[in-house]
Amino acid sequence: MDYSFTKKQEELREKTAAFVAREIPREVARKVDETGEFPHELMRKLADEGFWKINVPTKYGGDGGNVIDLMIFFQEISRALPVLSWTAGDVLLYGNNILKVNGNEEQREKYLPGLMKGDLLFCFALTEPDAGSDAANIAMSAKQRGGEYLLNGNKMFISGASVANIAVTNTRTGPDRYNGITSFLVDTSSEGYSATPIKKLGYKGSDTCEVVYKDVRVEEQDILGGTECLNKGWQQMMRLLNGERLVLSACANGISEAVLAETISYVKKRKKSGSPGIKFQAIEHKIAEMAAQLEAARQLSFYSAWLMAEGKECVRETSMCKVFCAETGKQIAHGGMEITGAYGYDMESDIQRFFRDIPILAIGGGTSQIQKNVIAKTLGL
Amino acid sequence: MDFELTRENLMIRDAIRNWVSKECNRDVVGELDADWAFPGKLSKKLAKLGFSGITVPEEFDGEGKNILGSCLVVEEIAYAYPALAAIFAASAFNGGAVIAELGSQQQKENHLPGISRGTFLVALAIVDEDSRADIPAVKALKSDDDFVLSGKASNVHLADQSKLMIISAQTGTEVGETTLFCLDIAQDGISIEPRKNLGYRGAGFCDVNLTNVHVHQDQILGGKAGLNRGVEQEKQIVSYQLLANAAAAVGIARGALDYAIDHARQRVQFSQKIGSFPAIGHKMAEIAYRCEAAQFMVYKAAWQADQGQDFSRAAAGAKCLAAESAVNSAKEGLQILGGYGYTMEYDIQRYLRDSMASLFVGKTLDALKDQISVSLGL
Repeated sequence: MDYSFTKKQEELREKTAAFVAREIPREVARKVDETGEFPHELMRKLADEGFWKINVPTKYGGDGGNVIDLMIFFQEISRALPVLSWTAGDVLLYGNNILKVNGNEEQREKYLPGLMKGDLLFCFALTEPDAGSDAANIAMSAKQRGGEYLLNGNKMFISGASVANIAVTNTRTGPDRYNGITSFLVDTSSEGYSATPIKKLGYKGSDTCEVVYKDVRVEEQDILGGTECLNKGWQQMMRLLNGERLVLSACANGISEAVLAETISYVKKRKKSGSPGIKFQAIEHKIAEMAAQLEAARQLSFYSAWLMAEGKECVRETSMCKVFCAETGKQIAHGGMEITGAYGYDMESDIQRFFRDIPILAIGGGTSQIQKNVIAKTLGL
Repeated sequence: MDFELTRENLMIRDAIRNWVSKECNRDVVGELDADWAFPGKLSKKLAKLGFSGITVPEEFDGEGKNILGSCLVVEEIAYAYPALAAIFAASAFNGGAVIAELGSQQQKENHLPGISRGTFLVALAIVDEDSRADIPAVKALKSDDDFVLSGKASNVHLADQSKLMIISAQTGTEVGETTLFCLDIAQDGISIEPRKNLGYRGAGFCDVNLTNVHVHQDQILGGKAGLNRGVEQEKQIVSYQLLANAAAAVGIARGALDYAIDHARQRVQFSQKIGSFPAIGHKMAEIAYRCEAAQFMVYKAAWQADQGQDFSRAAAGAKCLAAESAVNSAKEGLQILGGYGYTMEYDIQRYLRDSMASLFVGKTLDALKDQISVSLGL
């Protein structure tokens, strides 16, 4: 048993925390939430400080980090500005990681340098109006015509779709539910591609869009992984799921940490100023429960991440992790709102912002219900 | 035991339900919420419906006290538009019910006819939940027959839209030497700062600052005899306030539930309606029975109030269960709507934002649980 992080990981945590402390004071975080604008400036700064190299293999000039490094980064960023971790995902997950796991050599060499420099953004287009939890129900068509494909259809809730350069687009290329899906690297400046941002409750600034593809032309070599990966899109996606669940769990844990800290600081102040007649035990016990739940969430996530980093089977654990961390995050945010009352309800408090952010973590990347389906299946049910 | 509503109350419920379905449609409410706008036109229309005097005795142009009926009105409005329900409650409960019960003859004559005619809102600044202090933050200094009030009251719902404010002020040096005053909001020395909140946009909470506000002793709630009787009066007022909050919370819970049911009946995934999956269906079943339990607790407390019984314990319990039920219904509803539920285009996010206020308005659930535990002899 060894629960410690490597020296490199500790350094990454310190570096990320220092970035957060320096670049994301409350006012900056609140402004992103208020305006709902994509945080280009912060993304530029993250690129300049080398954060986009975290998970790129060393042979391409990256730091060679694994999912644990990603989680450290996502967790620290989420403590201050959750949406920035998502926009970072447009580089780290949907760019670097997708290319690392599913791209071919040409594609890695073509895109990784630009991604690391901060000149490129990717987005991941899977969900459709009628393909949410039922993700394999993809309807977007990709029809072959000579050496290229014509894409037609709609994508829904695609984060980063109007600012990204490349949209990793999952399409229907064959009748088989799972073996008829192909993933394309679509240049978003192509004619016929249009993305419209959607207004949301939280994670404002994520540029989450509804996307329309009308006769969008894609070269066949832009099939993710190359032409031999035609109809292999579903299998490619499956290889991303464990990592995505873990990273989203880290986001939830970061938010939970922030809410807990805010709540504790509020109660401490109240204990000082409140009258002696007031009993605090009920509130203290609620906070104790929140802290215990959060600790369990963190342990489960890093244990699952360790399994994945060691190359062990971990589908059950990452699914447990995703549902537990997201639902725990919702409970903690609820607890924070209840304990801070009118203070937390004010738009100037950060607690309500985190409360608005957290619900999507139980929805995106596979809802809590889908995770439970997966867990049940791994239990032989 | 009789679980039927009276004929009169059935008529009230049907009339308000009908009105709400016509006037508070999703587009109208969504737009007001998005613009942080006070629903002035809607509340005027509501006043014309004739429910404004529902808590006011007939001698003051009212319909005669009907607390259960007014709970039904609040619930039905909150089903579609919680902010408008709060506006109605500010008139019927904070105004009509409180003044009819605790006001002096002069206060009744001055205010109740106006309340019966509608659009006369009364703000309550009696429990400062933010500091949870036993002592009000507002001090009243005596000068001859008058008082001079100074201090700050936080989180006063709808103060910016009210004509009258009932405020508690410290009138002595001892804990409990508190007096409630009825202030004309337009009086000199009162400044109001509306806050922006997570929910109840456009009809929210305000900070109220009082600087040397001169008050005649006739403005003490209940007249001169009400001096230093604030703590006792507050208990009665809070019970009405809790009942109104609880009725609104039941409305929110039902509104969010029906909204989610609508979605679960239509949304198809894995070739079937998602409502037919037990993961969704059972969730909805739980929400529905909690909702119904809260509703009956509210009705029982209101019935006790109409019978002239002490309903403080019932109101406290109803408020706790209704608030939990509202939040749970909205939260699970959002989960059922999934990605769509997270967008501002769908109403479930508004239900969630509004529902969260029910955890602290009037009194926090913790404060109520303290109160209930005392009533259990603990």
